[in-house]
Amino acid sequence: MSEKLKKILVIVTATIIAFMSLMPFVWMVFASFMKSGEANVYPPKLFPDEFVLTHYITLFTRLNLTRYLINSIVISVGVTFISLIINSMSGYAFAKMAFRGKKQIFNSLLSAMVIPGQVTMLPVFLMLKYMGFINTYWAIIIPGMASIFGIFLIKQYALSIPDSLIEAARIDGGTEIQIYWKVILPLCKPILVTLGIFTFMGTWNDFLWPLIVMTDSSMYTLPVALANLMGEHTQDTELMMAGSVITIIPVIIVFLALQKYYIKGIMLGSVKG
Amino acid sequence: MASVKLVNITKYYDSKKPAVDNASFEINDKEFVVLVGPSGCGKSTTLRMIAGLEEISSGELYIDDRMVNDVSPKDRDIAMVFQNYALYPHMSVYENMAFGLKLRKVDKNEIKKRVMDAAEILGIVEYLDRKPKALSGGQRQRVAVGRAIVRQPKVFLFDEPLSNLDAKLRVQMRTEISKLHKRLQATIVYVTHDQTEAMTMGDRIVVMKDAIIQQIDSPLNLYNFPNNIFVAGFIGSPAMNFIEGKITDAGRLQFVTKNGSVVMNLGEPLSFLKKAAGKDVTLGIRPEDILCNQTESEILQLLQVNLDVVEPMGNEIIVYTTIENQPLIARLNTQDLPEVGKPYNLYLRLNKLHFFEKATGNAIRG
Ligand SMILES: Nc1ncnc2c1ncn2[C@@H]1O[C@H](COP(=O)(O)OP(=O)(O)OP(=O)(O)O)[C@@H](O)[C@H]1O
Ligand SMILES: [Mg+2]
Repeated sequence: MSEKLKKILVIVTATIIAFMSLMPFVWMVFASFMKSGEANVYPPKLFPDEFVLTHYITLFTRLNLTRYLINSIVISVGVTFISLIINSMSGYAFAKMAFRGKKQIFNSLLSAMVIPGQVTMLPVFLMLKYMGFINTYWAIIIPGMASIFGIFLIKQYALSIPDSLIEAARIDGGTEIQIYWKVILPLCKPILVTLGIFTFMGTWNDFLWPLIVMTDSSMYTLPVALANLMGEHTQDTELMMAGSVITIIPVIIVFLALQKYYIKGIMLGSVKG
Repeated sequence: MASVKLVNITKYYDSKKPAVDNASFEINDKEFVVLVGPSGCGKSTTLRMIAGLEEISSGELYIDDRMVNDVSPKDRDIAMVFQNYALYPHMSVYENMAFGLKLRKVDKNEIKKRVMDAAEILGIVEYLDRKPKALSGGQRQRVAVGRAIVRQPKVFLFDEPLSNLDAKLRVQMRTEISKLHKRLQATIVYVTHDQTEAMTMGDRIVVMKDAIIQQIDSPLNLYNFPNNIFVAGFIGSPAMNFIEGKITDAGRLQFVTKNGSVVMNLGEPLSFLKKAAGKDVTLGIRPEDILCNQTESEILQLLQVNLDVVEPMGNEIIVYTTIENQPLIARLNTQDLPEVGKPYNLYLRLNKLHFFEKATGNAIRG
């Protein structure tokens, strides 16, 4: 009996929490279809009286959102793929290869993790400036090409791959690159997907860094453009909501598409500690 | 044609103690050589040096008269079967077996033919589309062997391939690998810590202990003529009995146990022991060379004992006793159950006695 009660209690609590966290999103979606001003009336409305697409049309015509969408996609996809390759290569090397100074290098990487990102912003900005990458996609892609956390995550995962598998591949005639590509990468799929989602979401949602390195408004990413929009159109809540919907849709698509692997990756991580 | 030759091969993982110390032996074409020894003696290290997975600290390794010290594993034309099978988990059985051939750019039809042939031999045709996860231990083992076979390598290397299988399957796979060896006419180096496996499978056996090769010989020679006390005790099950004592030569050549409770007259065939007179020795006698009656025409040595434990096995009876606190086990070929605690007569076959120098452990021979 008490078991059942407990179960009901858990379900009720979970439902309430889910409801509370989902509500703003639901409202955001509905509000984006409201006529101008409708979102600010009292008492507040959940459903629009009439679904209108004007704000979306405005975003894509007058406000040039397509350009920002493309910027965001190029940057996020670029960072995600390049960093996955570099992180997985170095994570694998740290886990399975013998080279001089391996421990020292890895330890110094780990200790660099305590440096807050804000501290390195200015130096990195200056370096990128000297290299002439400000206002290019590279200004965001290059600093994102590898992450210590990603290397660490993949290293921990790769440690669980038995050495004999790599040795078998070596005897089977694989070059080191082939072993990495045909044996290690497929085996690391769950962790790669997890890390990929983290990286994609992190890059997609990042606001501060794009704001710093993209001074030319045509190079803005969606969050920066949206914030900019907010400054100019403070009153236009419905327009803001439409912009927000556009911004989060790709993230949701990516997450849903890879959810299966993502959860697997998290669980594997938890088992191995 | 494939032979392997080790010349003074030594391996140091760290500078303190070698994992393999000055190993020299040759594996002939089509020969099945077993490396055997207790855990940590350096068998795997030796095998892995042959495979090229471990660097050779000093010495020379030849495969078919080509020195391969600095040749990478993939260019040595060897195949290895690992203890944990090491199958690629993300590939089907077929892909697992085909992987090495694909990497070597073998023609597709040829790959298919070889994989099917191997699968046929090993009886795994019906599993070709499965992932290793969906196979039993024995089936995985077959796939691992299949992956080695399709490559048609010069030398097969096995590192304790059966130790993860249950006892029954182990015996079955043992004979299958032996059959495979005959069928493929392959050169095989096989590592195990199980002396039964070694004895039943090997054409020749290399016995190792503490990084050092103790003896290299055929199974029967190892059994009958162990070079030292370690080999004598390692080969054979139940193990050889050892009794410490001394050789004396006061008029008659005799073996006297430490406390003097047993005195054996050493007859004509053992006269070579004269050279050990006055020395401390260890006498060795296998449990199967101890009899319970005197009917045979051999020279026997009577030993009166009290039995501690009697284990009737059906075909034989195993009895346990002690001589001056040293355990003595005998396998008696009789149906008359001896009584525990009563005096009992055992007879040692004199010509089957082994003697080892106490100081060095080396066998004393004529
Ligand atoms: N990678 C390594 N680094 C350092 N020492 C090692 C390494 N591999 C093996 N050793 C040491 O070398 C010695 C021989 O090891 P090896 O694996 O060859 O033993 P083995 O005879 O195969 O034993 P087992 O029957 O347990 O497999 C052992 O003392 C072991 O601790
Ligand atoms: Mg071993």
